[in-house]
Amino acid sequence: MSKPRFATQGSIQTPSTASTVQIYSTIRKGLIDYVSSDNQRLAQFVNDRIYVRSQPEPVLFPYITLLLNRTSLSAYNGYRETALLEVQCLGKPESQLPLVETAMDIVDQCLTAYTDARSGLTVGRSRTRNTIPMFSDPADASVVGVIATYEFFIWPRVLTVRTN
Amino acid sequence: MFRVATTLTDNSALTLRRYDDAARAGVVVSSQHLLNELRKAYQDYYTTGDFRSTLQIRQALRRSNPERGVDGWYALVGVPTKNVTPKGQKKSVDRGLVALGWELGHNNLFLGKRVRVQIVAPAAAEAAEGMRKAWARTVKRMMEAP
Repeated sequence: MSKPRFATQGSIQTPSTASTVQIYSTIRKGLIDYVSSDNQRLAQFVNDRIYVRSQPEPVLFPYITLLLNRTSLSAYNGYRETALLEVQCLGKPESQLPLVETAMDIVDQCLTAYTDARSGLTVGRSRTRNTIPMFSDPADASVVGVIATYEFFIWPRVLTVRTN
Repeated sequence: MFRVATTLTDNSALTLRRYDDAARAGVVVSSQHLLNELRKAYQDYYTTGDFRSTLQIRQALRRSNPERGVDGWYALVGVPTKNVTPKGQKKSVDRGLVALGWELGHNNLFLGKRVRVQIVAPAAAEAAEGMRKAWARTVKRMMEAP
């Protein structure tokens, strides 16, 4: 099983839950490849600008960031993780808000009831979504955004491999 | 008809009533625990001394009285939406919005980059165990009362 320490070409295999890096990549690829019910892709909105944790500076708007928080409880001997995936889509100037909202509609459609059993098991359940209110100084008020949090249950290979 | 009878009652009505009061008190105590932990967490600057609004947010932190929701009692802990005008300043500030801006991240005009300082999320995660214990302790005491 390959576990990339650095994201070099060919080191990351998807779909995979064999490592955290690959879980991120699987979700990212799932978003990029998803074709919505009205035949739209995220690439039409954000190109491939889907980053983990934070964006490079300077960045082209709009873009998306992903952040995963995973916890396992004592149930299922800790093998089942409850993961909260935070997705932020940000745009600038304010006129990009419809673009951002529409891009997040595609993310919503992709991740709602998401099920992937190709490596381990990842299922999506509930979510919350909020349009970020307008901030004032010291924040740039012309930046618009939507933040959504998706609840996932993951049986990641990185943990369950021990039961083999 | 019984003669020389002894009555046995399960007292469920009393127990349920008492549990309802105990659960409400449990929510008060555990939300107060979270409030105390949040007050401790908002003690430093956000990034540098240029961003000292953590002190103002600490003063504005409140908890609500418990209300009955679909799943039981709940209370809110955070900064109520309120515009205040700090002493010596003309512009009013919504401190809750300032806290939210740092918690979710914002493009900072002075630093020229996107910054994010999460205070509530890690403090709440840290406080979760203490909140559970505080709730259980309160409910146990009230249920065991004679």
